[in-house]
Amino acid sequence: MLELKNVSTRYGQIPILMQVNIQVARGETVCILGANGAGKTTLLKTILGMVKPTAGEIYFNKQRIDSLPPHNIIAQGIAIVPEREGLFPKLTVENNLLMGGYYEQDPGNILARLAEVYQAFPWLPQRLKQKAGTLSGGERKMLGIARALLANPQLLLMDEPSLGLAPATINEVFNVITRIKRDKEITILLVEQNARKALLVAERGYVLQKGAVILEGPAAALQENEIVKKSYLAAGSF
Amino acid sequence: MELIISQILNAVMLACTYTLVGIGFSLFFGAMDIVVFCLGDVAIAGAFAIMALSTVMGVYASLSGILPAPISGIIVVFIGACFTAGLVTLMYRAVIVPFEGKNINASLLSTIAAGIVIRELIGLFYPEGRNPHAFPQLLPAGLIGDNVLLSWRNIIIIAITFIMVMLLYWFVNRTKTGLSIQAISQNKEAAIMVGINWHRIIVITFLIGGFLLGIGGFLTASYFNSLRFDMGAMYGLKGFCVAVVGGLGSIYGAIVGGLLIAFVEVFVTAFIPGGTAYSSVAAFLIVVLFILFKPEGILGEKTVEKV
Amino acid sequence: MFKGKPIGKIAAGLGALIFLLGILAGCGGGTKSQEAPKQEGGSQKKVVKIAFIGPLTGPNATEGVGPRNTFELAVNQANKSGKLPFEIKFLAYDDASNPGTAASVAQKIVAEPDVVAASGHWNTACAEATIPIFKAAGIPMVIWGAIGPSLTKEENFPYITRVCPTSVQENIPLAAFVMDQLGRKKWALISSTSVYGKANTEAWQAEVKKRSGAEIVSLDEITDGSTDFRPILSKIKKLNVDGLYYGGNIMEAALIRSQMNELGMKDILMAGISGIVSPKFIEVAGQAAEGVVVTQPGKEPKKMPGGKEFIEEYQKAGYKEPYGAYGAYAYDAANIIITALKEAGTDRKALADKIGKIAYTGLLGTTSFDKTGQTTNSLSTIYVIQDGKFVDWDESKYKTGERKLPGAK
Repeated sequence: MLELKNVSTRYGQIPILMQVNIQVARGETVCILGANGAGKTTLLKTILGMVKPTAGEIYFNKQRIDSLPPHNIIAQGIAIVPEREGLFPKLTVENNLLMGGYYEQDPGNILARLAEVYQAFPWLPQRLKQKAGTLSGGERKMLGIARALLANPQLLLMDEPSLGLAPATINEVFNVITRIKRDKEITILLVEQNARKALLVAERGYVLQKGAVILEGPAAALQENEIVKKSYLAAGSF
Repeated sequence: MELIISQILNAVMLACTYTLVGIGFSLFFGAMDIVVFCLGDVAIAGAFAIMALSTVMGVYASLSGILPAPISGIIVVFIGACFTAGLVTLMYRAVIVPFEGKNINASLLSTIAAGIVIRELIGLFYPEGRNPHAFPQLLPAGLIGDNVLLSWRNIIIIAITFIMVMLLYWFVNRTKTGLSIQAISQNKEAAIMVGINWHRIIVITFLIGGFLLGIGGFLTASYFNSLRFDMGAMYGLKGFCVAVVGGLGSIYGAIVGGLLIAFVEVFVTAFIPGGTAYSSVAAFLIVVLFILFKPEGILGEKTVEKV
Repeated sequence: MFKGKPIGKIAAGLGALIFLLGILAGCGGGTKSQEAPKQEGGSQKKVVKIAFIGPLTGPNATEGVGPRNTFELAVNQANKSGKLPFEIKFLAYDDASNPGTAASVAQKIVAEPDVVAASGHWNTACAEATIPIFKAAGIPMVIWGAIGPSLTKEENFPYITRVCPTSVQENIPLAAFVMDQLGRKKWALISSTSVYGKANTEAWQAEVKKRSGAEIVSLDEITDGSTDFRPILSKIKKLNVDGLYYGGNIMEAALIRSQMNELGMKDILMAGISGIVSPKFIEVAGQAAEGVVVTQPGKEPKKMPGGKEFIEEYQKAGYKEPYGAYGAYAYDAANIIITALKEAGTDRKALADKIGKIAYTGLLGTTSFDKTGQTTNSLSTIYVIQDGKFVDWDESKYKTGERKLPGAK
């Protein structure tokens, strides 16, 4: 469904991504591991069209998308849960959710998806009128996921879902991801520093280091890989 | 007591003339994160457009032949406000877009320059542009009953300001486009990530803001009965101050700021002997105090670097 | 201030350039130079230039174009008469009522070769700006319309002279009329912060002091360009004054009068001197202008010697604008300069001395200057606005009692 072919980007003169090749098939969950500064967020922004690649091509459902503006790309069925939740702090929880369904014209569909989302996050309905900025860190992350689901995307991008959260909350988040995978037909590309959690939930993975893909393979294989074990599964990055 | 009431009314009327321009500043600042300095001149240009339609171009006269006068008046004001919307969007394309994402100081300078250019173009190309003009009275004259305080014109100005603010509120809070404008001003990146077409929303923001400015210019010129090509400089400055005091980016803030500054000006003039000369100074002093001690304004939030 | 990136510098440079161009565009409106039609017969006479300066655009444009026309008329008449040993070229400049513009215009004039004399200004502030320039260049300037008293002083004589009365001289007959003849004693005073306005404030205060029982109960000074007078007027409304004196310029006066009526102060008389006399006042104040009492300097030309011919010639010359309150002054100023030129020749110092000593009889009566350069002829007439026109008091319906002034018992 998603393919990046030899994609490179730079920021001014500084290269960020270097000839990255990634494939994500329909229905898969793929994770991209990497440390800070490896280029993970840039990768997601490039897919979304917010950063334009200096070389290479990106295909979504066999259509080339790298030269399209972000709103076009997103309208084709890609949603993102951004790194720092990407919420609108002064809008209500309700309005934040509805912004997720930006391109949905049919109110019936919106209602149906809201129902699904309320099932996954039962605490949401009571908080609808609250301003999003007043939620706790964990709640904001959940809201970010809920909002992305409102778009009923074919491809869900997640930028470091565990970032800044307490261990219990991280577990909750990954439980949610697991549940989503089970309940819907959805393709997920998630980018993470927390390799252990990520490899438990993904079928395949890539390792990104300083902008280049240095490893790829099935999750199980990566879990056993020496480099991965040393750099990403060592104590301290649990 | 009657004196106080009439001074309160004077302050409210003055606040009405400031509010729409202040809202313009807040709206654009919220959406774009830059202060567009030429808004006062844009509003005055709108007033000139309405004046042109009413006098030189004879549109009002020909319409009045077919339709009742109030409707012709509304049409003329509407056309003038649309012109202003177009003008400000054109200004956006010409002067802000080239510097987007680049040096912010260049953007600010270029909006100041745009204001000067608009002002001088009016002076050059409007017949007798540099002379002051009596603004045609499109609003009905006369009083309601015998009370001097209740003139039709004042009531209508207050009503129009109120209606415009209410319309804006409804639009910004209850329509998807309006919520998108709020979204962009709260978190631009997230807005793009949700699929909002940033450029389109910005253009819509300018069109709406420009329309409001046109109406604001019309109300101001009607209240003061006179129009000069260079009124935009002071008007814009006051509008900017109103927005800052109320909280740059907050639409209600502009209303509160407008009332505060107008009240200060009127009461300094009325109750301090020799105060007339210092009314504007007092107003600006309030603004300076706010910038020093509460830069986010009355209803704004702590985003100090933005200012 | 700007970061090192090249794009940033280019953008900043462009921004500054646009800014500068904008400022230049703003300053550019200042000067127009026009020439008198050439004399037929084209004999090789020496050409001398006389410069006229006045507000041809800007807030007081209605006051400058008439005098410009009459000045040109005088020059054309002199050239046509063939009695001059030289040809006069008429140069007209616009000060737009702005002292900065006036100063730059004066610089241009003194740099122009063959300029022997100048005549300028309706606004006192403009005259103040140009007097030092003309004095330093030794070019005599005859003031035709600016009435701030301090402009003419001993040390400026004879280079700076003035044919019109000062504001002090105008305020005296106005005060005599409204305070003594009409019995209005309790006054509210609004004036402008300009030199002209302040001179009026002082003059009116002096007039009030002269009369026991007269008082000023409220004094406000506004800046030219203000448009909202309602707070001040609301305050004045409570004070039960017999009259409101306004000492500034046209636009503000008109707005004050119309806002007075808006606030229910229709019955308060408004009075002012020639600074507010203009068709623009009536245009902007509309119906509210009825019953405003003013002075104009001089008497109507048609009542003066040579007046009828002047009016005919002005019409024949085809000028669209009326010659206005100061048309006669500019006309006589031109002729004073021309007469002095005839007698003293083109040497500037001799010309200045001649102007200083002159006794000229024309539309204003006989004009000669005292030791400060001020005319000794301070004729003025009381006018009242009636049915949208300035009407001589003696010919008005108010005098006969057919109509009553605001606040009349």
